[in-house]
Amino acid sequence: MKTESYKESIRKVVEKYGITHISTITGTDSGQTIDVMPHLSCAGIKITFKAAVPKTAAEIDTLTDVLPGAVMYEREVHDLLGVKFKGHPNLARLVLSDDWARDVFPLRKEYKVVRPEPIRKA
Amino acid sequence: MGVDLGPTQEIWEKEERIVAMQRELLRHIFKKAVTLRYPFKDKEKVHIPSDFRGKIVFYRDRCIGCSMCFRVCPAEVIEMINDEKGKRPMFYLDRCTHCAQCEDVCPTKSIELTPQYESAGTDRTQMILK
Amino acid sequence: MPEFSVIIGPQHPALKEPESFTFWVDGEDVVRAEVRIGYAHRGIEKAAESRTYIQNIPLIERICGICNVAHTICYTQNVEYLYGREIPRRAEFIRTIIEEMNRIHSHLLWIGIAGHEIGFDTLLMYVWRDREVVMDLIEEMTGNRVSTALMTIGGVTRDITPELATRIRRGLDTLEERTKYYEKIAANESTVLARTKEIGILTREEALKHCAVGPTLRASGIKSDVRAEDPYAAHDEVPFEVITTDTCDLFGRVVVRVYETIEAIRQVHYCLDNLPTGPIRIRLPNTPPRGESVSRVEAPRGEDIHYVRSDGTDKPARYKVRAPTLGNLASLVEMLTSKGDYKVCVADIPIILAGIDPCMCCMDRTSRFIEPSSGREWVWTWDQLKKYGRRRKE
Repeated sequence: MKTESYKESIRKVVEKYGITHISTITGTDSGQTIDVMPHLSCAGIKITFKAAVPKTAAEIDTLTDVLPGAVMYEREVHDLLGVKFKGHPNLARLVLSDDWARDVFPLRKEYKVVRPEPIRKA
Repeated sequence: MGVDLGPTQEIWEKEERIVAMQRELLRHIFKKAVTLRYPFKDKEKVHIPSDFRGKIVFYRDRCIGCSMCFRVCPAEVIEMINDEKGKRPMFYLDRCTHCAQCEDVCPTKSIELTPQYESAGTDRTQMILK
Repeated sequence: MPEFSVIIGPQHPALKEPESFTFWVDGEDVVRAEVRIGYAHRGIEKAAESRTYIQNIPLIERICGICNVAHTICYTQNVEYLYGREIPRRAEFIRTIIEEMNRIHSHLLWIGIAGHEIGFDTLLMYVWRDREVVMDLIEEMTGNRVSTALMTIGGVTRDITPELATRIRRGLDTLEERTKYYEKIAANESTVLARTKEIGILTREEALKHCAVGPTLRASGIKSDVRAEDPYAAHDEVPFEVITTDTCDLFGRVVVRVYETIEAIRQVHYCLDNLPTGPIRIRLPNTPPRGESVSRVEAPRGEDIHYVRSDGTDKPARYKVRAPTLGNLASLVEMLTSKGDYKVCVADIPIILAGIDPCMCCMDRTSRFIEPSSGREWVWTWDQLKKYGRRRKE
C-alpha cells in the first residue's frame, strides 16, 4: 500500500471491524525500501498491512492515535531501522544504548556483523 | 442457643485463614530436607535419565564423512578434518550447547550424547574431541 | 510537595532481570514511571539472518529459558507454513504435551517468585519443590530440564513410549493435588490477600487500549487466548477453558495462573489418552520457497508472534520476534502510575513488576549486536553495553 493512504486505510479497517489489538510492527529492509508491516488481530484472524518507504526518506505516519498500543513497536522500528513516525508522542531509544551513533541502524542490510574469531587454540 | 461472640468471632474466622498453611509447615518440621547436597554428600542420589543430552561421544568406525553434522551445528563446534581413513568431524566441546542436532541428523549414528554431565574444566585445549 | 525521582535498576536485588525504572515519587506514592529496556539485548534477529533455518532452532530456543518451547513451536510452525506442509498429527500432540508442561513449569515458577516478592519465602520453597516433579518429567521426555530441543522443522525428534506416558500421568496427578492446595492458599492466606488485592489495577479499557497480552489481559476480564482464537498444534481438538477473572488486579493474575496450571494438567492427560499413532516427523528440503509467514503462539506470558521472510535461500531474509513481555510494557507503566483514588506505594513496586511475569531476556532480543558464534545467551551489563557502543563508533 502507498505511504499516503497507510494511516487512512488502517483507520477504516479498525473502525469497521472494531479491532483493538495490534500484535507488533515489523520493519524489513528489502534493498531500496523498508517495509513497515503492522500485524493486527481480530477474533483470531491475523491481518497484516504492508507499506514500503524509501530508505533515503524513511518517514511514515504514526498509528498511535488509531491504536495506542503501537507506541513501543514504532519506537523499536525507529531505533533499529531508522524509520521516522510522524506524530509519535515519544520517539526515544528503546533497545539500543544511549551513546549509540545516531545514524547507524543495526537491522539494515548494510550493517555487517563482525563475528569474532572462535578461540580454537590456547 | 447461639452465642454471638462479637469481636472474638471475627478473630476466630481470621485464624482459619492464617492457619491455611500452618498445618503443612508444622508437619514438615519433622521431615528431612528435600534438597540434595550435591556434590558433597548425595552424588549417587542424583537421578539422570539414560537419554540425557550430555557430553558428545564419537565413534570413528561408523562415520562416513558426509559433513551433515557440520552443516546443522549452530555453534561451530564441528570442524571437518582429514585423517587416514578420510573426512571426519573434530569437536570443540567447550562451545557445545548440547542441542543434539548432530546426533539427530547423523545417518550412521556415529555421534552420541551420553549422560555425562560433569564436563567443566579450566583449559580449552583439553576439550577437543579428536 | 516536591516530587523526586527514584531510579531502580538495571542491577537491583528486587529485580530478577535487568531493566531500568525511574519513578517519580511524592512521599510513598508513585506519581509517574518510566521504563528503559535493552540491557539484555543480544541481537538475535540479526544473528538469525546469518544462519540456516535448521541452525536457527537452538538460537531461537535460547531467546528465553522459561518459555523456550513456545518460541521453538512458533519458529518451526512459521517455517512449516512457508513450505505449506502439514506435520503428522502425532507430532502435533507431542508438541502440545511439551508446551503445556512448559506452561505448568512456568506458572509454578511464577507463583514462587510472586511469593518471594511479597516476602513469603515459604511459598517459594514449597512451590519450587513441587515444580521439581514437572522438571523431572520434562527431563525424561526431552533429555534436559529446561532447554528442551524437542522440535525440528517437520515434527519432533523424540517419541513418547507407553511407560513414559504412565510416569507422566502419575507425576501430574501429584501435581494436580498440590496445585489445588496452592489454590486454597492463594484464596485464603491473609498475607497473599493483603499484598495482592487492589494492587496493580489495570482496568478493562486500559488493557484493551495498551494491547496487553496473556494473563495480564485475562485478569482484566477479557476473554482472549491464542489457543482458542487461532488454534495451532493440537489445540483445535484438545478441550480447554479460557480462564478470566474480572478483578483487574494482582490477585486476579494469581488466580488466572493457578487455574491455567490445572487446565494445562487436564490438557496433558487428554493428549496422552488420545495420542494418535503414526510418524513423528516428515523430512523437508533445506530451502523453503519464497514467501512470508506470521505465526502466533500462546506462551506462558502471553501472545508470542513471529514473522519470517524467505527469499529462496537456506537462510531467512528477515526474522522478527515480538515476545509477550514487550506487549505488556505499556500496561506496566499504566499500572505503576497513581491516578485519582488509586495510589501506588513504593513498596508495591516489586510485586507489580512481578505481576506481569516479566521476561526481559525475551523482550530485548531484537537486532544487531555481535554474538559469539555459539548462539550462547549473553547478558550484558550497562557498562559493557556502553563500552561496546563506544568501541563500535571508533
